[in-house]
Amino acid sequence: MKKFLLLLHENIEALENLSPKEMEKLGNAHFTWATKLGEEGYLISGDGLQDSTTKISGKDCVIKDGPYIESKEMVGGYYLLQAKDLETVIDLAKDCPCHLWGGTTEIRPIADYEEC
Amino acid sequence: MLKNTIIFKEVEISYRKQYGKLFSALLFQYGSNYIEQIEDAIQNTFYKSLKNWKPNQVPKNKENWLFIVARNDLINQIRKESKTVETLPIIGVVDKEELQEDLRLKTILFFAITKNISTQIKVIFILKNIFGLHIKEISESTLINSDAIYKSINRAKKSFHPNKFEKLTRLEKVDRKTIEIVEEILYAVFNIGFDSFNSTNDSIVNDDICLEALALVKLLFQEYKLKSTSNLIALFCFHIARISSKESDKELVLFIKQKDNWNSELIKLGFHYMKKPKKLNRYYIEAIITSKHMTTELFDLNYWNQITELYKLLITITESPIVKVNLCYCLHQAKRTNEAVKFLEQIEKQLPENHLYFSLVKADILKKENAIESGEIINKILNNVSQDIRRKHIAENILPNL
Repeated sequence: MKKFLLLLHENIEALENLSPKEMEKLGNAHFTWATKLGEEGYLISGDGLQDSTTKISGKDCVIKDGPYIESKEMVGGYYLLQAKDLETVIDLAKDCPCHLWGGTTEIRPIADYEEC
Repeated sequence: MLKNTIIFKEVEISYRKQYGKLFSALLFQYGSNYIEQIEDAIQNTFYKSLKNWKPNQVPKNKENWLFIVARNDLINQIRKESKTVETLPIIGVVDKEELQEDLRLKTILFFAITKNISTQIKVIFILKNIFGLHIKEISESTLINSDAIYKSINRAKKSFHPNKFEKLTRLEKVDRKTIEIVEEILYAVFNIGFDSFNSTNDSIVNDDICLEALALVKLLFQEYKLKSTSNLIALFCFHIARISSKESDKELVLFIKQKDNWNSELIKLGFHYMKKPKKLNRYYIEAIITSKHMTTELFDLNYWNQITELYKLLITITESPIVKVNLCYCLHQAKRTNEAVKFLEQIEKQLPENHLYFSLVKADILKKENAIESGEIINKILNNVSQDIRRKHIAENILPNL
């Protein structure tokens, strides 16, 4: 079984302006989707991420606090999944509620050097 | 494949209801000077819940979680703006760590007693802040453009006097006129929920708006026991009994085919709350009409003539153009089409252009005498209607019969 990190690049502006009903629907959509993934054995874990972010760069460890307003998209959450191959995860990710409000999902296979 | 043990359920909390409860609680605690900040605090809180509530880690008391997070957000905003840490103006009765009392009705009463703004503006403000609708949703539900809604809301905010608000802590001091305004507001809100035109909504009915309007009108009745309020409950019960039967498999169901799926308990409840008032009242007559419509065995000329008389009675006590459209429809069904046409001409200027219900009734009335105009009206409706489900129904059930 291989592991995959599903990153949710969310459209922050769209999400912040959802109506209460739309927020409720989106929350429930994530719950339902996560339930299905859990029942079918794909889900290892998942979390939403706060908008605040801190970047540390270079040898001097320069610290820069965000969010960075130049981009309306940011990683707003992740799911850690397990599946037999990438194709399975692509099929699963197509139904991710992140896409409902202008978000993009990105699949990153977890490196497994035993396979090399 | 290995089964993972993580099994979750839905959040099971109505954000629309919570919006109103949070808004009211914070308004009573911090006063009407902070309406904009309260709106932002609630919006931020829902967004935070979206991020924080993990499927297997939802707070036990979700309402309270929302209340505490919203209140903290509001406090942070007020402190940032006032640049003082010590002085936080708590004025109200909810100086507690928990959201215990539902203050939505009190808040609506506060809006109702506010002078210098129309009932329409009050309805818009209440749709936004008690029923949690966004501007775009109010616009789609009421067919009022977004700019006009923004202006209405800003006007309402400026009109709410904090001093009056502080005085409204005892519900029993409210006079009859104020209760009548609250009834009028909840009636308007209910009707907006009962006929949703929201293109992003999957349903033709915003049932949660209708159910919350019913819950609030029941609270109003419990407090003041007016017969008019009781009749309004009866009317809501009859309508809500039909909600689940109005569509099936994403298609509209004709009234006559809905009957088997009506909720009989709610119909019984409707009759229970129907009370003959000393003075004729709009909700009583409408409840009678609706109950007759839901219990008659035969939609014959005699029936339509009876209903016509009730609508004629109704137009003596209300100016509503929709009531007049209903009267036109009944006259037409009673084969009194000439009378219906005369009424139609009077009403047309009182309603927004291309009003869906008016256009449908007009097309139906004209279809024998002027099939070309009737067809043109229907085609215009098909071009304008925002929901696929309504467009499909009109194209499949009305257009072929012209």
